Amino acid sequence: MGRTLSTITQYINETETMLSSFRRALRRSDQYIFDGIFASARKHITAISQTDSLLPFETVLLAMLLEQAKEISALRHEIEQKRNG
Amino acid sequence: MYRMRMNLLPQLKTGSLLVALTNQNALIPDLIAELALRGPVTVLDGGNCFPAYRIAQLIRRKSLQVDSISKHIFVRRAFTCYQMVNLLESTLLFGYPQLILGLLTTFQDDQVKPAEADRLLTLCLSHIERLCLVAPVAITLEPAILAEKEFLLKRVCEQADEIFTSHSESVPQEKQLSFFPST
Amino acid sequence: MDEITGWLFDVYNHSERGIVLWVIADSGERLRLRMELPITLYLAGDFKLLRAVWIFLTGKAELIRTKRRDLFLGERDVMQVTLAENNDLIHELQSQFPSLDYYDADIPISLRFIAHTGVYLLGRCRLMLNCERVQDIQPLDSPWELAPEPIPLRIMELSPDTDPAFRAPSRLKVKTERGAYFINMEPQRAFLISLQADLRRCDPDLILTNHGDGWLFPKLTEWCKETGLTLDINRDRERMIQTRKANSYFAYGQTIHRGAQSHLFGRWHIDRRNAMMFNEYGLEGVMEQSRVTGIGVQEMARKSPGAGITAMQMLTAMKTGVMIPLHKQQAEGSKTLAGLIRADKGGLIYQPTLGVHRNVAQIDFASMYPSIMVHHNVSPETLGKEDSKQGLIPQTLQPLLEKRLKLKELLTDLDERDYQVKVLKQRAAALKWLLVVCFGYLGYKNARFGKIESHEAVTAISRELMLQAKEVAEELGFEILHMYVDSLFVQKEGLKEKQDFEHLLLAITEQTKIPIMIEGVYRWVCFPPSSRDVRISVPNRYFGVLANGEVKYRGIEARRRDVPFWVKKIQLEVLNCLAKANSLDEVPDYLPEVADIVNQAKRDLRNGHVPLEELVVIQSLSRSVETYTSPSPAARAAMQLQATGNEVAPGQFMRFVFVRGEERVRVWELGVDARIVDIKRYCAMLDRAVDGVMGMFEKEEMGLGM
Repeated sequence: MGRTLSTITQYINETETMLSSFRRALRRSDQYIFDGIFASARKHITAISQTDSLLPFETVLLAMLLEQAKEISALRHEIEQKRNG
Repeated sequence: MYRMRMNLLPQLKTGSLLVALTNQNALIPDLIAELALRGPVTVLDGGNCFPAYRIAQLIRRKSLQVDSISKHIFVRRAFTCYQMVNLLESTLLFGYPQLILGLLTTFQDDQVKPAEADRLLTLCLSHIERLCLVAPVAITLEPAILAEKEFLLKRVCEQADEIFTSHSESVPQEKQLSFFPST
Repeated sequence: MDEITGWLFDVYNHSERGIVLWVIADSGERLRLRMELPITLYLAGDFKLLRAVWIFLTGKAELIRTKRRDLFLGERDVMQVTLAENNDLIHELQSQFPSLDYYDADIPISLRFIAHTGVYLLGRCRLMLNCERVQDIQPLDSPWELAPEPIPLRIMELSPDTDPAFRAPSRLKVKTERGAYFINMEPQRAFLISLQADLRRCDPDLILTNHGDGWLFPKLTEWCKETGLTLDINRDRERMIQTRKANSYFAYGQTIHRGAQSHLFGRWHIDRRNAMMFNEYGLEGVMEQSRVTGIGVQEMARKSPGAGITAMQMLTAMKTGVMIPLHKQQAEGSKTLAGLIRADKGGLIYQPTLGVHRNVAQIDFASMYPSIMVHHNVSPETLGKEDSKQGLIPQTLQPLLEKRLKLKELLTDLDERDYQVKVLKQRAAALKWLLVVCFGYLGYKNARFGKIESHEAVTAISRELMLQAKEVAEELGFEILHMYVDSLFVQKEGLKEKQDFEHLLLAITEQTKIPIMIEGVYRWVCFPPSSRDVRISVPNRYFGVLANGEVKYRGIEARRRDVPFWVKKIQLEVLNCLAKANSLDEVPDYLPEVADIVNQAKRDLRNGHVPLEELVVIQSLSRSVETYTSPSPAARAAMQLQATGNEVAPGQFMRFVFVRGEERVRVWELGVDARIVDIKRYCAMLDRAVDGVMGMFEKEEMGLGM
């Protein structure tokens, strides 16, 4: 109702569509990871929207980085735990 | 004059009304971005189609000053044909370009009878004529229109100095011919 | 002169002059009364045109030059036109002078009456009468009272013994307080005489029907004409039944079909099959809406609540001396590119945390958008102004909000079995619906005074308040699992009773100034993944079990209209089975039972034990049948109906069953052969629905087979 702009959800979908040629040329196993990167960005749609950026893709990349950092942090924690037995 | 390519920019000048028949053509955001590089531009959106992110992206491709250039773009939206009239009657006479997107989209509403649509369009066109005296004005229209409202399309094209369309639009042959203003 | 007291039942235009009132007097009499009610409108604009109007109207109306308030333009020079007779003068004026600004030109007569007298529809009043003429009328109560005295209505129910779209009915069921009985519809004369006797004897205030709008009343009118007999369907003998044609129109991105209508005078007619809101909150709900909005019961039963909100807004405008424009609308103010990006957002939506979670509380802001409009004084004319007095919209909504809150409070104090509960619940639901739609109808498209900036202000404030709520919750050690516009799902180790969350509710209410309440605490709740990628969750899609064992769900098949009843039934059975577990840890114990339920369901389907009605799919026809290049299932069903001479219109709902072979579907009205049902397709639908629910739980334990 009254919405003119694409929502961030639509924006991410459109960006993904634009990159479909890139994705297509990847190996199947890489495609899975590629989809995962976009899935991780989708976890932060609200934060991306709240940024009011004119170029949202920059903030989308930041969200992807955030999820990667979380994963690294979790892995580091796991290794520490295993090390300490 | 009836042109087949959508290159409006060189034709935009004060005193000349340009009409483009298009369905959200990709060249419109580019036009807006180009105009923003040169100075202020007003967009009156009657089709709820203002492609904000696309425009920002195009500005970025042309310049690093995305923030300051985007400040040149002023947008106002109309969601009913009565709002469209209000939009045009309240537009102040500055010399910078005025783009009217989807002028007739709100007129498609079947709650608005053809006679009423005609009356409102007369008001809109008189304001547009007024704007043309001081600024370059371009209008975009969706080529597909309900039969009972087709006369509106004809009226706008009759007032135009130049009409643009592009090959990619699926405008049926009969319609194309009917858009020739009788010059 | 006589003085009487009673309830105002109905108000409408007299065909020549003034209005007709129907009053249910305390004596039990139903009185038809007449009253003068001058119609006033205002014109503004070009001075030369106004002079021409003056000449045109001299002798036909009372004319005064005056000043009056336009909400946006302030005091304006206007011509006040007052008409004494009900004629087409207003329409004539508009066609002769279309370019003038008209105000107060299309106000429903009931609203004019209410503004003039202060008496509300269904309200108690005192009248001074001179025969049938009302000399004076005074209100005795207000529509905002929580427990108005119940009106002693006489109700007659009429229903045909079959669905007329399917098969011509042969008998009509008549139900009054004396009992229910059938009368044969043939021979026509005997039937009409019998029905007339019933109408005379019962003299109902309300005729409640099935298929009255589209079939029964048109049929009765036709038969009366053929036989020359009369039926006193209307109490008002001077009037015919008012029929309105069916039509399809496009609104809010979809085609909506509205069926034909039959309105009565002096009585109400409600057709259960053509009154979707009536089925939501019953007669009490519709009456409550009529009471607070000023729109008659017959109208409110059929219209969406949006019409009611528009009426309330008009009434507030009239009371505060603001003119109601006929067409003139405000467009948006100027925004920069960045400004538009900032403003063009909806409510706050947080991606849910995938998976199953235990002891989760769902907390909701009460009527968030209306509350914001009232509390932050958001109104088209108050935008950007600090310290302005209460705007038109908040003034309209405040009493509505307060009454709804008071009703809810009253309900929490009462025992479930109290006889008042049902009525109060229906009233509360009716008010809730008015509040739910007010955001759209007070917005910028359908609204008389709409400005998109007020819409944007409300959503901006709502986003801010949700973020504040999140911060308060996180400060108190809660984890936020999901947020959706006005609702949060929160969790904290060790908390599982409703009262454990009280302190959170208080803290949020204190911070945001909008009341927030607890919907319930889930023993467990699941946010399932989307079908496109199992790593992604979907906002507003969940299912779970509340502490009292009740299952709640959103966004899954059991909610969707286009899913057959059988699939919904089995999905719910599965959910209810899982709900038997006392805690999340015990759920795996029930997985084998779930497998049994699904396998049994498929066996039943294959053996023909599933009633065909349960396999019916309901889909609306999105456009005209001819415009399809490859027909959707709904289009195929529509074409089958068309082939038998039935009319189909865009927006109408098609009912069909999936069958094997080229036809693919078989429209329900024409009968379906149980042997050709597409078993495979229905089993696939069931699998999808069950997987959607079970996916998060262990799948290996289930021996699901074909």
